[in-house]
Amino acid sequence: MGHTRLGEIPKSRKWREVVALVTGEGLAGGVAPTAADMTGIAAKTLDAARKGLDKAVADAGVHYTFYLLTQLALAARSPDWEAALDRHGIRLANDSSLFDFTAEVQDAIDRHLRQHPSGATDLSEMAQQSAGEAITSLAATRTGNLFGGSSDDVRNAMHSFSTKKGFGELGQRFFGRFVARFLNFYLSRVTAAHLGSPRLRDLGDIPQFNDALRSHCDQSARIVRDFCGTWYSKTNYEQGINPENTSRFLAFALEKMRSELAQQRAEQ
Amino acid sequence: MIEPRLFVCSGAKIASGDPVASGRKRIDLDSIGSDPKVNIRIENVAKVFQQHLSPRLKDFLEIAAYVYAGDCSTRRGTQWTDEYSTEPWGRDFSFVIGVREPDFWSSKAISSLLTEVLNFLSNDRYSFTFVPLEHDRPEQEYFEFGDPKEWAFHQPDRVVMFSGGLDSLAGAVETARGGGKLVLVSHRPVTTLGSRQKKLFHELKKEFPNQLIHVPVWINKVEGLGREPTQRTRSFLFSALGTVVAEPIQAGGVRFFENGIVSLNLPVADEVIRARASRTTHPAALHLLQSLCSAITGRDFTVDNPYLFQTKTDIVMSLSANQAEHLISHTCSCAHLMFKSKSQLHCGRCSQCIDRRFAIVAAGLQAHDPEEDYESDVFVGQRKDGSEKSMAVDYVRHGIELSKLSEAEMAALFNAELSRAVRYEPKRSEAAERLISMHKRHGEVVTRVLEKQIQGQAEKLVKGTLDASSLMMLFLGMRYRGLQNHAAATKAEELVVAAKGQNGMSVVTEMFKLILAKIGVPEQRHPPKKRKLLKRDAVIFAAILLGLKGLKYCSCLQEYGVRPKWSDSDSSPESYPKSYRAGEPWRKRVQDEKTRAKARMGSYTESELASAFSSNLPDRIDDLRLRLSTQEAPSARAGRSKSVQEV
Repeated sequence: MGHTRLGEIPKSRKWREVVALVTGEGLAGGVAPTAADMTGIAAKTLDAARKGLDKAVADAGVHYTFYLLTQLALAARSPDWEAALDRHGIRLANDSSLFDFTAEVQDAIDRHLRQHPSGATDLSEMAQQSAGEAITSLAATRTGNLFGGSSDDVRNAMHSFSTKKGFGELGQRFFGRFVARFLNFYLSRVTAAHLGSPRLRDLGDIPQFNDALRSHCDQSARIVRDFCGTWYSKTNYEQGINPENTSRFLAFALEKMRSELAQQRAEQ
Repeated sequence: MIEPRLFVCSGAKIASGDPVASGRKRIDLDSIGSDPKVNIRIENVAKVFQQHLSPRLKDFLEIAAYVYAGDCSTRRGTQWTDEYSTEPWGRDFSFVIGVREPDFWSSKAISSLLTEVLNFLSNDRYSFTFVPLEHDRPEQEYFEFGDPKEWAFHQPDRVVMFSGGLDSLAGAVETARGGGKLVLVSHRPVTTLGSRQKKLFHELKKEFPNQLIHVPVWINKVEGLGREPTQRTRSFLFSALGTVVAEPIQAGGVRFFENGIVSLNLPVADEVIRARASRTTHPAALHLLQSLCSAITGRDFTVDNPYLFQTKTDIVMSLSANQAEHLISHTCSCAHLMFKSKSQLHCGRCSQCIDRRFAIVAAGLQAHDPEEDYESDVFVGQRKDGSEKSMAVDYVRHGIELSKLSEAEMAALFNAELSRAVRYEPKRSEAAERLISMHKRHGEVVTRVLEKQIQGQAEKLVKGTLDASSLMMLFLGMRYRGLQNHAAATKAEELVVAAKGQNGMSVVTEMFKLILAKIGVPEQRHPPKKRKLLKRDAVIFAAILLGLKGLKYCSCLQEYGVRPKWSDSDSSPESYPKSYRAGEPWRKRVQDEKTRAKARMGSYTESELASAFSSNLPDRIDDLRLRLSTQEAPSARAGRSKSVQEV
């Protein structure tokens, strides 16, 4: 009974240009995309999907997800970690693993979105996926045990994100993965449909393309790392982090990511 | 933007200027009057059980049928908005429905559950207004035929949803082999599908003459209402159907049999966001449906899927283990041809056909799934540009990538999806480990099958005589297509150029390895070959699974006629109990053998173990199945074996 709905990329001029870049249209063949190509592809895609990313700035689910990341980091510094998490409906037992923790985080986001008038959106889902990916990929190396261990191990791992530097690292991973997922929401329609083109000769080229895109976005998100850490630390100290100031920061961070990707292309 | 819809159902009336209609396109649906747009044959159920349905169950079935009709008749939209950057997906539905129990359906608890489950299944917004039904459907007279409690099919464990595909067949066979009575329920939207299900049921009944009844229920909408192929609310309708059948016979609930890969339906690509991958039998959806059905029936009502941790290949192999492989040719998995009256049952191009064929080939059961039943061969058939091509590419790439991902990578990449899947599991981490292990198994199957198929087509691939749009050619890329037209740019292409005129086998094998290396799959990916399970293995594994220790463990082995390997020697104890009582070194030998067996047991799937237990320990199969379904992940099972200290 399983069914997957695959769509097509729009046929507008901007998207046709993106397709030509991804596939290497007109090239003789056998030309893997270089880092410079990837810069061009990411910038061009972001330009074609500009309005879509604008909506992320106003998306309640994207806001809440990033706000929750700040609260998880702060909870790890709280004298009563369980109580601090419980304020967001996240409940851990003594033997909760890192996976149990991320599952609770995902529940909390889903619950919030069910009660919010706008509900879940494609963008909120991308943010949710990116938050889970960021926490798991960074914290798993700290706990050393994804499916075992204890709530204390999880807290120790999360505590490392509660500093200026640590939160900067978490923010970089979150924004990098969010933008990569956002771009590939469009580009994955192109890569699968154009297998056999000069830049996508065999099936192995698609995962390589995806890895290159992810790396490019992770690298580009360096621009928000220090900025993210500083904002977190300063805002928490001066006024406390709340949904409103988080929203303002998120809009600023996404704009910074976008201008960074555009700037990289301009510098080529 | 997809225009919001207002569905006014069962003759409900709304006042002019009612805000519910504001900004919505109104569509009237009726299943009761003389000119219905939604056809529901409630008599299909009543005819079998000789009982009238309760008003609440009639309401439930009608609500589900209206929701399904609304879903299937409203296009999700194809025109991108926001300057071609937003893909239309979610829709906005409002229903005003005439029902027999408006207070029940309007209660906050029920309407919240309804909207939550439907939103999860389809990503659409739902709002419901329930008003008193003015004109009910006529009831037919039935002759009571005695106390229903004396009927052979009274109070079955579950009623089983029977789609006519491989998974529901395997579930039916496995249940029937275990001696269970089965009430199979099918949704019958068209006559062709009904006749296929009927034929399969007929074949099944030959095997299990007194154990089965089939209740096909006819529900469809009239042509002309519009057509949306995604049909994400199907399981809502199925659950309603199952419940109206389960309730008169006081069944414990409704059971879906669906492999875990499809049940979770992890996104095969980043474009597949939310319910673009269907959630028909997703564990979270089944849990919500269970809550809803329990509230409707007013009792504990289970909606479950015992195959959550099994791949399609596991399930196909269980059909073979249950001596039912000859029934495979009567099943239909195809998303497209299921509703058409064609002699070939499968299109060979949709994801369901691809998944089926990979599983069948992996299980070595091609003889029971003839190529002629496919309009187009899954591996070498032509594929149109668009979703046909992309589906094959994404399916294979996703599968291969699953095989190479570590547990941590999979838990990170699919964190949101895995978290939702284990939301209602008592031990989430363990369940997630089992799901990851299952996905890796699936990925290994995809990789292995693909390699064999490529090797089987080596000559044609090297000569370039296969269709350029086929899965095989797509996988290996344009090197074979346009070889003469461009220079070899890589080592891999040089290999192919050099291979012109040579035996293609070694070349395609090398090419395959190069592509896997690009994806990051380590070369040594084949698991060690598993030994076929013998009676001796089955009994030892069962004793371990039952938690037997010491003399009880040894007595169990003796009870089933298993003797120690050392019993042939004159100087050795002749049975396990005697070995245990004889003390060292015999007791340690029993222990060592048990430790090794426990480690080996971790390499077998649940379905392989279940079928070995079913054949060799039929008297304990229920207990063993229960323990299998609640045990920890295979990797953990195998890991634990290292610390086994006592016999």
